[in-house]
Amino acid sequence: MIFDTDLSGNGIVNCFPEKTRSIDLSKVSDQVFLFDTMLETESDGKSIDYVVDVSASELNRFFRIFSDIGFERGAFEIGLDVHVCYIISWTLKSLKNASKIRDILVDSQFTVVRNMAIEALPFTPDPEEESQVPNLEIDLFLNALSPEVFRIIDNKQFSFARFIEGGHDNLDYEMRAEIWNFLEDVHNQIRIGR
Amino acid sequence: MKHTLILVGADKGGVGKTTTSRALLDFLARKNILARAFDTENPRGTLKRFFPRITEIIDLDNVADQMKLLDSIATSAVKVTVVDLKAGNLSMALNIFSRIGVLDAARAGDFNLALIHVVGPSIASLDEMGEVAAFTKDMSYVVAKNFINEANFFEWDDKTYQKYFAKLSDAKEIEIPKLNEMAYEQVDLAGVTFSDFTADKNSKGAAGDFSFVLRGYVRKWISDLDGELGGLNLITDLIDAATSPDVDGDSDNTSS
Repeated sequence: MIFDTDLSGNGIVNCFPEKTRSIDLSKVSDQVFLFDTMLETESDGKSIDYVVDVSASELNRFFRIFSDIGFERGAFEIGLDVHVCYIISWTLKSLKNASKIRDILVDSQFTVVRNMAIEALPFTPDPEEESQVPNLEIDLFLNALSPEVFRIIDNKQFSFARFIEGGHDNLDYEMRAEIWNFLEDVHNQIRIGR
Repeated sequence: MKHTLILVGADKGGVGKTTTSRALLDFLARKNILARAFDTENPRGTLKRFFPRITEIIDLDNVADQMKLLDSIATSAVKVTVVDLKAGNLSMALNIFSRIGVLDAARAGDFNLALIHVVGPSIASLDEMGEVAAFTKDMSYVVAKNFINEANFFEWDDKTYQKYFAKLSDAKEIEIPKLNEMAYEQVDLAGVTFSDFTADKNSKGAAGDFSFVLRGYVRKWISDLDGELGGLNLITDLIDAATSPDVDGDSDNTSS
């Protein structure tokens, strides 16, 4: 099950409309639905994976609620594993946010993700900013795809799962190879990290 | 341990007076400090709904009820009494207490007397503080700014507020932090203490099935409130006395 905090309609709900529920984090009723659903279902003995897509504008609010209500402790008590994947961009604000989130997590796994398709130039802090740059290790790199392949995977009709199962066979060999390489690379990094 | 009488009052209704009393009783229970409560909101008594075992509803105009409250101070095994004064009755109650010698007895050291004055976002509340100043000499006087109901509760001019506050000798100030409205309503509906709500216990002590999120909000609120109350000498003295070896009695004074 997927929760999408991006209310613009352009978020992950676009790709998985049947599996996704939009969450307005400014509403307590939606906060209750989001966090209680994850904990209650798990305590019912059913094993369901949840993905919460936290939009950049809701990041602070999400983790404030996450921390205030003690979600991590509740999850730990019922055996729900929490993995936080934070996609950084090369800005001081993004790096500081990553560090802040990492610091509030106790039992959760924190993965720093770098999307190489975004802001390819490495981050160079101004001299006065240098002391503020947190020490972060990137756990997962998402390699940049060619513009042609990026356009294909960005299409909401495209599905990685279907691709792996042999679907999307209209793509030419080079494109298929590029997508396979991309997926394999992600898979290998996760496997090694594990 | 000397008896401590804590009055919680406001001359204006709807400023969160009973919520403050509930929060205080809840805090004392969590610190294992035995307390009893009197609710002067006669005949309804909102406080009694949340603390039925330790709360008695009284009419402060009734002499028999005045005796029930005050004459038992010397003999009660429970050494902390919280009185939730009916809305609009603060000045009147202080007048009664003054007339029958309660304030003098407190000044003479017979027991500790404290007033938690819950104030609202209006000049009327500032005027109230001026009115009660005549009574607060030699008692612990705490002004509680209650943010629980509204996010922008205090909108008055800070300079004006400070001017009024400066007139009050030895007054302490606390803030009752804001609690999410939905969480507040759920606790209210459940009719349980804040602590029981966080522990997911209903009024019968069984599993409450309350939302984890709302319980989390209340837990955070309690933690913030502990910081406010824990900073008062009045409270730290009670905690010290309760944890000293000569204190007896059990700690089961909550409603659950």
